Amino acid sequence: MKEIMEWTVSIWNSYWGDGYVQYLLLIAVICLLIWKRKENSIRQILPYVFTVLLLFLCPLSARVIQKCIGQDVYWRVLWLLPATLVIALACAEFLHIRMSRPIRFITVLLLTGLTVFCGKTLLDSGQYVKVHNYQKVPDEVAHICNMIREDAGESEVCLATDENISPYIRVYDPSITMPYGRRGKGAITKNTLALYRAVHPEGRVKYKQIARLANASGCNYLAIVLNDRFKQSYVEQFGYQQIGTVNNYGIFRLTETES
Amino acid sequence: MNYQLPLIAGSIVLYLFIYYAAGSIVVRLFPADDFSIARTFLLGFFACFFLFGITALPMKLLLLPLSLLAHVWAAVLILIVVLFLLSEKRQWRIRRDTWKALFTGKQRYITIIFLALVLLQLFLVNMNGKASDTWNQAYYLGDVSTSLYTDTISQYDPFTGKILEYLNPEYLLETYQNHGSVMCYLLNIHPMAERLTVMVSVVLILYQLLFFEIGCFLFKGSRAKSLMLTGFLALLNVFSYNEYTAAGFLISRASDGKSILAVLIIPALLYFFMKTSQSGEQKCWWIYSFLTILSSFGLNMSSIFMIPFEISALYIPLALHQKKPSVFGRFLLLLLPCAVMILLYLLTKNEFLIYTGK
Repeated sequence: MKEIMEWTVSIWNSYWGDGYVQYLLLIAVICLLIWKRKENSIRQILPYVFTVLLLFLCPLSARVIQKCIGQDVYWRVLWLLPATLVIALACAEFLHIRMSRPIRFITVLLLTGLTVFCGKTLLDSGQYVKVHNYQKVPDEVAHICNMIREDAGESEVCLATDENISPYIRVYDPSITMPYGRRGKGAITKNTLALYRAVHPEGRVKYKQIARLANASGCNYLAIVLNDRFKQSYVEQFGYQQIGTVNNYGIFRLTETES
Repeated sequence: MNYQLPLIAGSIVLYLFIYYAAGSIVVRLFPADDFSIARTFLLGFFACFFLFGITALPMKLLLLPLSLLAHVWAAVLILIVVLFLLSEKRQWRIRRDTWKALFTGKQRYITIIFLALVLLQLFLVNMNGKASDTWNQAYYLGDVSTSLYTDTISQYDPFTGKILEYLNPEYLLETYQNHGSVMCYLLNIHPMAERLTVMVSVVLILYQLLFFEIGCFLFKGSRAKSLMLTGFLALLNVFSYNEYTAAGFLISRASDGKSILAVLIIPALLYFFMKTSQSGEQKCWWIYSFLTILSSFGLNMSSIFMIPFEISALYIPLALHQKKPSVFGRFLLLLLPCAVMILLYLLTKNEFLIYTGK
């Protein structure tokens, strides 16, 4: 029981993140309860809000729900909580209290400021990035795919690359196959699993190992980050030749299979 | 790239027109006391995805090609449009007046501000490359691209491009990605443009319409107050970003099936519940809820567990409060599709039913 409660609290904190939106919700609920509790609509929404909170926080229901949807995604239960609706509702109701126009204008600014202060924007999160392709993949990915496709022509392409790039490749160009996808999913042979681990090592990157495993996995293209330790000979001995670079990535083509 | 922009804009308009057409048929079959343009769009969205689900799923399980599904779906869409035109023939003056009223008198200003709010959010979300959160959606987006490229329905691994031994049991019953592939086939649009611009825009527009409708209900028809609610909602969505919240999903990955569950399905069921509890004798609200639930499974499999929790939290207290067995009976009816889908999901997940992809 204690473990479930601790997990529930940690999920609650993660859900709201660095902002204070949960306190805005609390203030909104209190305001609606005090001033608008006789309204029919409020009498429908608020009991539902309390029921969802009870479902979420109660260890018994939490255990059942976690069994159904999984512990890791328990935060999705909070999607049932109409938090932004309740806060927006309280703000809209508050603005319709009888007041003069200047006061109403100042109130709008204050409520807007409060909302901005209590939350975090997409801009702050680092999630807002301009890209220059309508497929909305990082420009780097588009350049890598275009370079490989131009080099390969109509031939089949099997590309091995790292986690920063691999989730986007087949989204941008599904004609390119891969030995594994995001987090190594789809890697079914010993070689492809080992290749995934070699491309994402805990310590130093071993280019020879990557080239050897990529060759054994049937990859005719490689896109790997090149550091100061890299030498062309590391990949050439396994048949790979560099065809270009995109930012830190070296792009290699297999010119002969390892004998 | 230049030809894609008009194609993308045209696709958004086309999608909305189809949803309106389908929604008009639904409200004709199951009319409510009042006609609402926003509600018509929403019901049409759910009706379309329900119809697509029942069309696509047998073809998916029979391993038929995507091109065949696309042709069948095109025929269904044409049928929807024809039925819409026929059914609205007698009422077109009334409908025209309803639309006209939005741009008349003081209502005109509310409509213009609402449209400006929607356009601003569309601009914000669509100008943001990273907002698509492609990394997290790699499987779903890859499925759309891969199915289109291979002319199959989810028979290839989206991550590697290799053919699967059997259809992925985790996503067997989900058809939302297949809808994307079909529309790309029909419209000759790039999968990512369809997913990350067209569907994102459509979901965002429907979200605004839904909450404007909810606002009209909560404020007893006052569109001005509802506009204020929608404005604050937009502010909260932009300024309360977190990767777990519904707002975060709306702003960063609106076209994801999970986002549709969080921002459309769950709030729509809440809205229909509020309507039900106010005017429970009208069957239409129960039917609208039923339709929403039926469409939800194809959109996202998480619905099969989330919806029972939501409708239990909504209808059990209502049934106890009103002390009417009919309310409890209807609640059980709403649960029934979820129970069936849970059973099917457990059967397929444990691979009691395996479909050979080779």
